[in-house]
Order: sequence, then C-alpha cells, then structure tokens
Amino acid sequence: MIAAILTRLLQGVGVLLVVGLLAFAVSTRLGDPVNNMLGPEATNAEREAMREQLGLDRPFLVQYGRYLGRVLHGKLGVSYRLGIPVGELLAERLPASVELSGVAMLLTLLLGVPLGMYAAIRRRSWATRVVLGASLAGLSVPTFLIGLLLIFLFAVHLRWLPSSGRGEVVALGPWTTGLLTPSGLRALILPSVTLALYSLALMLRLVRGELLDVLQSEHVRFARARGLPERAVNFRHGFRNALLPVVTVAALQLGNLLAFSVVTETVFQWPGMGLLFLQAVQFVDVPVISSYLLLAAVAFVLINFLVDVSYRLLDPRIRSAAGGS
Amino acid sequence: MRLGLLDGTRRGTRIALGVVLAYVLLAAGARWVAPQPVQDLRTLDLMNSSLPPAWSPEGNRAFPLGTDEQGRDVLSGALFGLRLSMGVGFAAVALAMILGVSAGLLAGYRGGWLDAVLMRAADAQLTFPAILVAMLLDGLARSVLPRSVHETLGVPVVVGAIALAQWVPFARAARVGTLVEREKGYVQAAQVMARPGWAILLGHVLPNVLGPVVVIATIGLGNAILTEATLSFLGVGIPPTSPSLGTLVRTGSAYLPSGAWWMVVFPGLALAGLVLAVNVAGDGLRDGLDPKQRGAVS
Repeated sequence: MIAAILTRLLQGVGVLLVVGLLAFAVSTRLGDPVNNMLGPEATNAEREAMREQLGLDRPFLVQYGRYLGRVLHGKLGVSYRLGIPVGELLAERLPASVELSGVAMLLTLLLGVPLGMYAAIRRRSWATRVVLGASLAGLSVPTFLIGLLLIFLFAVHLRWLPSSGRGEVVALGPWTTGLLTPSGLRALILPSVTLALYSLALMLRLVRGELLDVLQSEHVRFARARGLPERAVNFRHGFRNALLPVVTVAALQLGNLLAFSVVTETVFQWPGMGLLFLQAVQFVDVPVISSYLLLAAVAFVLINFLVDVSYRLLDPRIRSAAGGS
Repeated sequence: MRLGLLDGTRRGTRIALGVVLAYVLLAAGARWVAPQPVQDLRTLDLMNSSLPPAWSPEGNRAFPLGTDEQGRDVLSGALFGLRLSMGVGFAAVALAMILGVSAGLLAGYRGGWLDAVLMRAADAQLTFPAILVAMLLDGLARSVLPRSVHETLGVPVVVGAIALAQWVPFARAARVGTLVEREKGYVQAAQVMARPGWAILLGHVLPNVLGPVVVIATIGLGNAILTEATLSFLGVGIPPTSPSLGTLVRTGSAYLPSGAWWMVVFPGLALAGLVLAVNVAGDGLRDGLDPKQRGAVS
C-alpha cells in the first residue's frame, strides 16, 4: 500500500517536472528576453553582459534547474501585460476562483447525488424522466450559452441579480471573500449555477448508472429476498457500493470545474484566475501562461493522487493488486 | 462490413441519428439553403442592422430570424457557422481517431516499453481538460507564429488542439480490443503465415476493434463541437473572419444587454440541438453495443 502510494507520488513529481520543462521552454525559448529588455539599439557587448547576468550562457539543464529553484521560491516572473509579479497576480485572483468552483462543487454534490439516487430507485416515475431529460440538455447546452441566457433573463430582463463582477468583498488577511456580504452572495448565484450545471448533470447520470448496476447485483437481490426494508437495501447495500466511482468522478470534476471556470469567469467578468489566463493567452503574456500551466498541473496531479489514494482506502480489492489507473 | 449498429437501438436513437443527418445536409447545403450569401460582404446593408425576427412588429420578412449589427441575416449566418462548426468537429474527431487508434493498435500489439510509454502519455493527457489543452496550444501557436499566419492557420490549430485533447479514449479502446484479438486463432494463423505486422494490424485486427471506436467517435463528436464552440466563444479559436456558431454567439453577446436576444439565441439553439442529437445518438449506439452500460455517461 505504502509502496504503491510512493510510486504514484514519484510519478506525479515526474509529470510535474515534465510540465515544468514545458513551462520553462515556453517562458524562455519564445522570444529573446535580452532583446525584450534592452531594445534594438543595444551593442553586442551589452547583450553579452546581459546574457551573462541573466545566466543565459549556461547549459540548458543548469538554466532549468535555476528556473525550478525560482519557481519553488514563488518567483514566477513579471506579467508583460500588467507589469505586476505573477505570484501576486495569482494570489489576488485565487480566492475568487476557489469560491466560485467550491460553491459549484457543493451544488453538484448536494443536488446531483440525491437526484441520481432518486432516478435509480424510482426508475419509471415521471419525475425521473424529467430529471434525466433535463440532465441530457444540461450536457448538451454549452456553458457559455447557459450563462448568457441566465444573464439575459435575471440581470437584463428581470433585473434581480447582477450580471458581472464579484460584488462587495471582505478581506480576511490575504484572502478576499464575497461570501460574507449580501451583494457578494447575490453576485455568486448566477456564475455558480452556470458552472455547476454541466457537472451536476454528469454526476446525476453517473450516480444513477452506478446505482442501477449495483441494485441488480446478487448481494442486493439477496438483501431484498431476506425481507430487509427497502430503505436499508437502497442505502446500506446499494448506495455504499456505488460510492466509489462517484468519489472518483467528483474529484475529477473538480479539475473540470477549474477548466470550465475559464468560460464562466469570462461570461460573468468574474475576476478569477480563469479570466486572467484567457487574457494572458490573448495577449501572449508568456509568464502568466506558463505559471498558470504549472499551477494547473500541480492541481491536477494532486487531485489524481488523492483520487488514487481514496480508491485504495475505499476499495479493499485494489489494496493488494498492483496499479490500476 | 456490417457492424449491426442499429440493431436493438431504440426509436429515440434513430430519431437522433435522423436529426444529425439533417444537420449534416443543412450544413453541406448552406450555400443553397441560406437566404443571404453572408460570406459576400457586398450583400450586407447597414440599413437592415439589428432587426428582430420576422414575427415581431419591427421584423422584416426577408430576415426570418432577424439580423445582426451589420445587417447580416441571422439564419444564413447560423447555417454557414454550422458548416464550419461541423467541419471542425468531424475533422478533429477523425484526426483524434486516427492518432488514437494507431497508438492503441501499436501499444496493444507490440506491448513492452512502447505500450508503457503510450499509456503513461494517455494518463497524463487525461489529467488535463480538453479546453485547457486547446487554449494552451492556441497560445503557443500565437506566440510562435506571426499574426497573419496564425489567422490563416486558425482552423487547423483548433482541429489539432481538439484532436490532441481527445485521442485517449480511442487509444484505450483500440488497445484493449487488440489485446483480446491478438490471442485469437486467426491472428496467430496470420503470424504463422509470416504476414507482416502492419498487414495483420490493418487487415485483421483493425476491423475487429472498430465497433467501440465508432461509439467513442459519436460521443467525441459532441464534445469536439462543444469544445470548438467554447474556444470560439472565448475568442481563442476560429478567427472572426469566418464565424462558427461559437463566434456568432460571442459577437452577438455584446448586444444582449440592449435586448437583442436573437443574435445569441438562434445560433446557440442550433448548437445545443446539434450536440443534443449527437449525444443521444451516441448514448443509444453504446447501449445497442453494450447493454450493461445503459444510462451512464462517458
């Protein structure tokens, strides 16, 4: 068990090193930093001096090592577009993204799991049909369209909710939160619903599918034959065994929420990291792009690692077996 | 070769396939179906800008679904946009399929380190959502290529990015299929007859692993179309000179606060309807092939 976890950890570090190499290559090999800093009038001697000062005359691997050292100290470079250190930029934008994705994840779990269970247990009821139909639509209507339609209905037409921004935020140390003010909470409603719909639909259909499978299995039929109450059969024997894939997908959805927050943050002009990344891509703001890439890689590797560990903890069958992705 | 894909499928699946086919015909025939040749800028008249759909009081019969801010017929724009969106979707899935199936066949047939490397790459790829991969590639292309080249290469870059984000399910399915087929008598007979490896793979193994691949392709098509639309909506996909459905929604969304909903809603509905039909068809095809998975997604 511990050996398997260590292997996974090492693999994760390996992936991070490769992504780091990519980020490094992007941030240094694209364009000539010496030209960017000195301008075209500089003499060759000045260029050489600058090159030496920046360590650009060293071998590639030495430069990569130094880059990793800087990154680990939180020195991610300075944004071309805004002239602010990338570390500060990300720290400033992080709370907005985390709160948005967190609330969306909460909606996904609190609505998706019960609805999915309902749809599996009451297989033929009309409410199940409605829920399944709606979830299919939720998977098919693009996120940005849902966001725009919600804005049009609730912000432009009815004027109930704000269409953009975070509302009023309160600073708690370095963290800014919109969860403590009425305007901040109101501003959170439309973006979080928009972001949650896709993963909600996915979660619901997954829970239903898994539970349907489990409910047809031998041990559940046996529990039913023993005359156990329906509730005990569904929850203790059914749901518990359907939980494993649900945990996996929930964790992986967290990564997807991160990706889709780019879209949602754009639609609602939500001042988070996704919007920052999009603007960086449009302006070719290389330090921001490579830093976001690194941060996303860390997040995904971490998520995958946790999924793997939780898998081993939840399912005794995997504990002894080797690997299994 | 008969895959028997439609055996045992439900009516809903057949209807969805019919809708997809209708979309394909509409997209292919955009030039003849569209009331206005919107690609020809000379047909645009600013006098007709921002007209609501024909059934509202200020509407004009000539523009059934209204016009955009440049006087472009929304229906015609959506038809041409549909053509581009579907073209990109089909191309991306085809490329992903070729990449993925080749990788899967090789990995499954050769095994060993090649298998290990390809499948680790697949794992790593899966950790990154398609949209981020596509945005990164687009950002890379932007920083490497001069602006004018990037504009002309916009479509290939998007196709490549989506394909790269989607090859993994194909590779996994093809690999598993190959692992099974490899041990069967007919493959071993071919090996004994000393047929070259590529001939065995293409002639014998490939046809037998295609069933699941077709299903993955259908589901992947919905995702590819959604990804392209999202990229274009974000303004990092197809250049605005040849608008896809996502681009139309993007440009239209600027006029949403002033109440011009038709510029967003009609291209958006066309998109959602297409993806819905593709998803229902894909779901149904999978159920037809694998009744155990009924109702689950991806």
